[in-house]
Amino acid sequence: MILTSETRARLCDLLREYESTYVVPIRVEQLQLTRRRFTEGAVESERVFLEVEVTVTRPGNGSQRWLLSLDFDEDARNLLSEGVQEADLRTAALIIFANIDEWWRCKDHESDVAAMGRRLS
Amino acid sequence: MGLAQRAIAVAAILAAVGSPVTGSANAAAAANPCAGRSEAHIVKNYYQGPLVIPLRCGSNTWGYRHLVHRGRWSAEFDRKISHAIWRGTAVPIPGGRWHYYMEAMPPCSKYFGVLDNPNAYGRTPRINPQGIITAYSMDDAPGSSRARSGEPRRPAC
Repeated sequence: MILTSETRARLCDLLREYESTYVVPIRVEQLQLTRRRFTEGAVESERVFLEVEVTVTRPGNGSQRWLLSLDFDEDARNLLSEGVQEADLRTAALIIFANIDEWWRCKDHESDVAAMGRRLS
Repeated sequence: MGLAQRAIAVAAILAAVGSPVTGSANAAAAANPCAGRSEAHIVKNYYQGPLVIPLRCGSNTWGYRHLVHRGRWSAEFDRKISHAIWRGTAVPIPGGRWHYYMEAMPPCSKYFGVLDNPNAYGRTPRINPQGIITAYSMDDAPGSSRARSGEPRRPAC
């Protein structure tokens, strides 16, 4: 499953609408879907993740770039698969916003949330 | 008690209580209301007067499964969600709304917020409304930009 350039551009546009609601300014720079394989015992499984590159501007501390990974398997299948509609993208944008906002607010006291993000700069 | 009688007594006890393995499997299934359920299944409804906000099974990014995935779900957490929706302050954001209340008074800073989507989950009419996306405790009120307000950050409690 891949994001078409049109879908990616529309999602980024929709995510711009949330920029004033984050606790600190956060801008989504790039989005892409990736598949990851997992092995639990003898069972192998594959899940789709959404990788989100963001720039966080901290007043007085400059900007930081982070790469966030969201387990988006069911949501990618339901909202970003073939025949994607505007209503799907609006829901996807709300879910992505919610997870980004949550990551920033909770990463310092929830280790699972912190593990979603990798600092790039 | 003879050997045969003892065997019958043990068998009767096991039949009454079930084996430990079966018992724990049943307990696990009972503890997870979303086992084998679709994302649309409603775990419970929360209320704000006539307004009904469902908590659906969802996925790892929203709903009940998200709250469990993050290790937050408990009876106390359930009560906080109920309180935020019933008595909290509502703040609209594009496509959704926060419901929050202050958990600790200044000079500390702590809020509990619930984010829900009052509209459908994408084009799926059977998931309408989508309901609760997430909920957690936070240092700043939801929907408020610290940079915009210019307020210094209060110490977390």
